[in-house]
Amino acid sequence: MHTNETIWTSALTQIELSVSKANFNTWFKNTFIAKQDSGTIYLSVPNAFVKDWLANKYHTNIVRALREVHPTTRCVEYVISKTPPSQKVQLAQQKQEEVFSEQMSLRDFDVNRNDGLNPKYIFDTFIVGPFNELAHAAGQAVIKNPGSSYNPLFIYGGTGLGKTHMIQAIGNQIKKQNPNKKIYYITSEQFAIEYIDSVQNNKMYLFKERFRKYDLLIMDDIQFISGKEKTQEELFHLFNSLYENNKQIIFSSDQPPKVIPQLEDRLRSRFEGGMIVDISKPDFESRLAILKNKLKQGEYAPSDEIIEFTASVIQDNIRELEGVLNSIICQSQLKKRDLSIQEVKQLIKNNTKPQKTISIKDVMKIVSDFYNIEERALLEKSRRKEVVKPRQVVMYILREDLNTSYPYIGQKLGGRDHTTVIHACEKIKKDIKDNSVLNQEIEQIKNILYNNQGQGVV
Amino acid sequence: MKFECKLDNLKQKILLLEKITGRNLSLPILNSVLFIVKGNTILLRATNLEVGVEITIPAKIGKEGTFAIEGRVISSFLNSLDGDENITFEQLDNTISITTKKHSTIIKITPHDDFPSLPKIHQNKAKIRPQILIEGLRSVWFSASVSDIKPEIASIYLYSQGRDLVFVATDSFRLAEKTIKGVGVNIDPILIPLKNALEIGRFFDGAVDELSVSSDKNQLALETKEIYFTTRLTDGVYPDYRQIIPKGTKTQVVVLKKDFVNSLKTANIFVDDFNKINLKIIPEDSLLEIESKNTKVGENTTQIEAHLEGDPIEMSFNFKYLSEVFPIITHDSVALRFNDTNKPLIISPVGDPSLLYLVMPVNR
Repeated sequence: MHTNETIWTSALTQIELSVSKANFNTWFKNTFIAKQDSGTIYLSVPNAFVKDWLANKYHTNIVRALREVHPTTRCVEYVISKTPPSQKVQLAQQKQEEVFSEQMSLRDFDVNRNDGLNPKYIFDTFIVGPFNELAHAAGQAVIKNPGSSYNPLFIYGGTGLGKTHMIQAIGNQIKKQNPNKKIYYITSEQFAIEYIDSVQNNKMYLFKERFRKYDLLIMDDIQFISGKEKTQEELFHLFNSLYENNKQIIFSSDQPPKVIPQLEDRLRSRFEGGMIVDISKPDFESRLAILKNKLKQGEYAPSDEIIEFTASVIQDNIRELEGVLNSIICQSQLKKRDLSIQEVKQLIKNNTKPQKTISIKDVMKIVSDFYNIEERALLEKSRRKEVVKPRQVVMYILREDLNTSYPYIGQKLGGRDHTTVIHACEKIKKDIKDNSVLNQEIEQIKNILYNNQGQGVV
Repeated sequence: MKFECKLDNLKQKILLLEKITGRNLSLPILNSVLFIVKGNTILLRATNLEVGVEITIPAKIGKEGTFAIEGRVISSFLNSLDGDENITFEQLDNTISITTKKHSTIIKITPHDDFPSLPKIHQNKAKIRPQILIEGLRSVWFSASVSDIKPEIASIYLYSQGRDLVFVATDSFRLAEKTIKGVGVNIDPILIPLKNALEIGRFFDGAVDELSVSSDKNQLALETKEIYFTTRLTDGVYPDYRQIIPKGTKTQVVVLKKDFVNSLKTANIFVDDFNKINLKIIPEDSLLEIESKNTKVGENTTQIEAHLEGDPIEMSFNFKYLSEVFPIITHDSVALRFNDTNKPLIISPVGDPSLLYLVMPVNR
């Protein structure tokens, strides 16, 4: 099966032979087949000059070349369409990337060089749920009254929960409502780099001047400023200058200001002076909504069952949620069919480390239930065989899946020494290899552990 | 091929056309001017694939034919000739022999098979006087962006509103809008690339015949009896500029254009690296103060008398953006309307609502 692109590439090779190089480069640059419709090929050309000249001068050559490659061609029509300058390169790449067309669309968005904002982050694609409604409301208030209602706005929350989306969307919305506002988005790391640059090149005054002119400054991942004393000092002055002029400032961080280590007190207190909101982990319904919203952007839609399953398993990271969805879409495109729920489970198991989804308590409860012993027995000093094994399994799971530290595991399981825990983990790890029963048991426990999540059983 | 025509007429037309030849490196034929000798006219054609022009001139035709000569050569040659005499062209194989009373010249011709035709538009045509179009374009084009990064604002936006024709250009630091009332033609909104708009100004300056205007999504054609001009249009959406025009006025200053322009010139000597000029309005004293300061050069304050209304205000602007509008204002006094320190300043001639100029302030 010929694609539009291969047809045109081979037709071009033929045309190239019968046309001079100068002509070929001028008239056939940035042309491609826009679509085919029952024998008519619509050739996209960059402007009316090319359209006119191709139709008048090279029409026969084009039709002949196309018929040779694609015998069902009846006629050729020319249409004008806007082509980006890098069209040719893109065409070459498209072939390999066809499979990933769902993600390709993201590439169209480029970060705006003037304000650092990425136009893909807008409120239209921002799902509001109980977990982030406070932050959203604060954001809306800022959009309505930049610089006055909540200044600075400090948003914090764990990784992959939409902080960046949120603050960039605020920037994009304000820009949309008022294109004259000078908006700038920068990560604190970039800020530090630029600061150091300006010091090196003796351009401090430019640096100061540049940042003071913004009406809205958005600084992402402010926690990285910790320990950088001079950068903090500069930020402090910048903050004061913007704040006094009623310019809105927005920060995001993965921790509240109080907990950011090595942060100057005067900065900390300024961060706390406006509005501090947190974005917590999304609930099941929100996760579902996020997935469904994300699917709306693409063409492929997995079954509801799969979506719900994904939403129920991946609990506390939206980025991971989207990552898993992407790999589901990608896999099903590679296999050219829908995935079964089993395959999806496998995929998720491979792709994610379900670390924080379970607490130590959950593990203990499920393991003790599984082996039918009292949960308390795990903590006791007893060395009865029927207790030792579950205890070791708990330690193993805590270590492998939850990445808990050895001393902490020991402490939680009845104040044991960390060497005991190390021994237990090593032992189970070794036993799994030779003992298929044990292996199955652990698999089963993990299954219960992860699959029952989100349905409120645990 | 043989024809005879008036030298000065041909010279004038070739000089116009030569400007748009000679810019295309990939297709050398575009450096030439094409002569199509047919009936009792010569059709001269040149294009750089951005714009394309055909000019018809009357001539006494001996024998019909078509040939192309490099634009630079023919224009320099004709430009060196004086007087209002007749000039005769005759093709001899691969050369053209050109004779006047005094000269006899032979110029090589270039093969013309590859010379492109110009796109024609088969749409309804509107009639418009060329002065209107040129006045509209000239009133705004200095404001358009000269960088091609954003093709939309490197263009002039033209649309009809009722019976009026509106021209807009902006480079996002300032904006000029010219409304020409009562034109009574309906032109779909189009974006003319700035460079091509300048060519329109060149070709139709001083034309008297009515222009036929036709356009589709990608192309604009302007036609008189003599000239057919076509240009590519920018494919895009013009920013919604109306929303940035402030509605009210907090402070209004009416000042003689001459006074203001002179004091701006003075202030310009002392502007800093950012071309910053500070305007201070003190309504109690009926004074407009213009300040500039450069730590390396010195500083200047000029006070001019003005008619002031509203609140005192102090704002800074870029000299370049502030001053560029004045050459196109023909009225004696101008009104400066201020709104807020972060809102644009509106400049318009007093008694001429057709021109609106917005300048963004410089933030301190």
